[in-house]
Amino acid sequence: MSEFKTVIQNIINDASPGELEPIFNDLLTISGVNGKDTILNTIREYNKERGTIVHLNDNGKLIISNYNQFQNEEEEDTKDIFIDYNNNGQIVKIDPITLKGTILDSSAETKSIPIDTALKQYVEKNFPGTYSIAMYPYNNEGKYIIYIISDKYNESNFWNGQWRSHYIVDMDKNTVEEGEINVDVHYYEDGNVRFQSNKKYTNDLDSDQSIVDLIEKWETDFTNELYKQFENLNQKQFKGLRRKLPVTRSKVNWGKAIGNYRLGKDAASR
Amino acid sequence: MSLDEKYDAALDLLRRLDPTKVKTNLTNLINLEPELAEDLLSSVDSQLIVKRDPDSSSKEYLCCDYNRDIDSYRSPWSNKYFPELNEDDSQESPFPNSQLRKLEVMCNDSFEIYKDLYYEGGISSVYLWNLEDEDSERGDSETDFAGVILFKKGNIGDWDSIHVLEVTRSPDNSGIEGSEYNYKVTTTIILHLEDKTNIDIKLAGNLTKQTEKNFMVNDLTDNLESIHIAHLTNIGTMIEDIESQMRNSLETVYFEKTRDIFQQTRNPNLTNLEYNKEQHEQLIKGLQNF
Repeated sequence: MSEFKTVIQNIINDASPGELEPIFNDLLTISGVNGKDTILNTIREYNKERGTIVHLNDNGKLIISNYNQFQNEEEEDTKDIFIDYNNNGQIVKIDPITLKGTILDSSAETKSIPIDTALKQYVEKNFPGTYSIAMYPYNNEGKYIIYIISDKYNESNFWNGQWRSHYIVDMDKNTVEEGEINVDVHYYEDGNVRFQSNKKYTNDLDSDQSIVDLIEKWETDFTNELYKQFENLNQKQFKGLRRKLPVTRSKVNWGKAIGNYRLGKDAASR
Repeated sequence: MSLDEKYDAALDLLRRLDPTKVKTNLTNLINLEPELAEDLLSSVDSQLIVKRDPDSSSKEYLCCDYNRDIDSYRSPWSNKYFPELNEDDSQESPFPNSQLRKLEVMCNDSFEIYKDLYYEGGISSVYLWNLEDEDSERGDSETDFAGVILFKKGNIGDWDSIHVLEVTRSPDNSGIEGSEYNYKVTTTIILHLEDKTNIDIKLAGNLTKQTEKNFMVNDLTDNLESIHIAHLTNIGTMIEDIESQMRNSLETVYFEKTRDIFQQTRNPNLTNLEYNKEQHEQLIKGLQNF
């Protein structure tokens, strides 16, 4: 792999959620138009690798991923074409930068995969952002991958936030095998602050809880733990770094007399 | 694209990429456009480096681009560069002039006390340099100077304060009480917190703030020490206020804003709340129809 491509990959993989368009423009400004194809291809990989919500021209939404890429030997260029398995298998062409999609063929003959109603209801109840849910074939052994993504973008107030989770499930047994949750929040008014959280799950106990029950359990546990550890960062780490008021509980007496603090300390330690 | 446009694009990018990887991202950007190296390295703040001064009982001091020469860093304690530079290089190394060095020593002394009072540990360093006439149109090397005041504390979690300072005399506003001086401070605080107890959480980044103030200083006296004490008092008061305000801003952004944003993505209570609100509204509507 060329060094240029490695550098572009490192940069794109660090991107804050919802900010691909300005990042694409910045990279183009710095590297010049010759780098455009490499940057675009890297963004395509990034979108598929993590799972990304695309807004469709009929106001619907589609999650693009490595598992719903359209492949057709006759078509020359299918890298921006995806299958909407959960919506009659319609075929969608997307723009990898603006993340907008156009429905090419709404009655394609690909198989259609319905999403469980209980899972839909769970997602509706728990995700107030721009959420989307998807279920795609994962491998040839009848396994599926479920994506739950919820975005809340607010560029004009300099913040963006994203929840992403995905699970490998066995539909025949109605069980979840493994999963991963990622939270990514960016606040960048007068600075650059990022809050990231992550955990991988495996169904060690071979729990026979249904798909939706186990997803709900993992996601509820994750959220509770997130609040708990978050509070610890404030109480145990942040508060131990710099005091609100000095040890003396009054503002520093600057000037020549400041040496008295030291005299006091020396006298006290004597 | 001009170099200026590329520089602006690089700064915009750094604001959008992972703040814990500023150094890697800087290297990557310089790799894409080597001509950006000098401007980026001198304007983008990253976590401070800690070195020990072998001539001052191995006392720790803080290093950044402002006290660097080639690959060595000047210590505020012994006023020497480490690792020592060879004779040819060291002839050209920057040092504050002897008068300004006196103020630098005084500042290091006082800010170390300030650091003990607020940070209860950690490291502080202050570096000053003369503003030459050619650097600043209104600058006067006799009275004007610049500097950087640094604090670092880390045990679990890391805090780095970087205050870049410029002090200039306003010759038009002088009278029998002395002269008015303008103090300009650009502050960046880098705060990294992390916890991997059960799930991995990382809360990290930086906030920046600019502050400007004018103070009268009696500079008519021949007593240099009293002029220095006046400057130190003004700078100290400003830094103390700025850090207190910044600490509040950091607490708000880190522990309220980011949590609020997270709750906009996943929150069972929020959707229930909206649901309840809707029910409530319908109830009121129903009552009104009675």
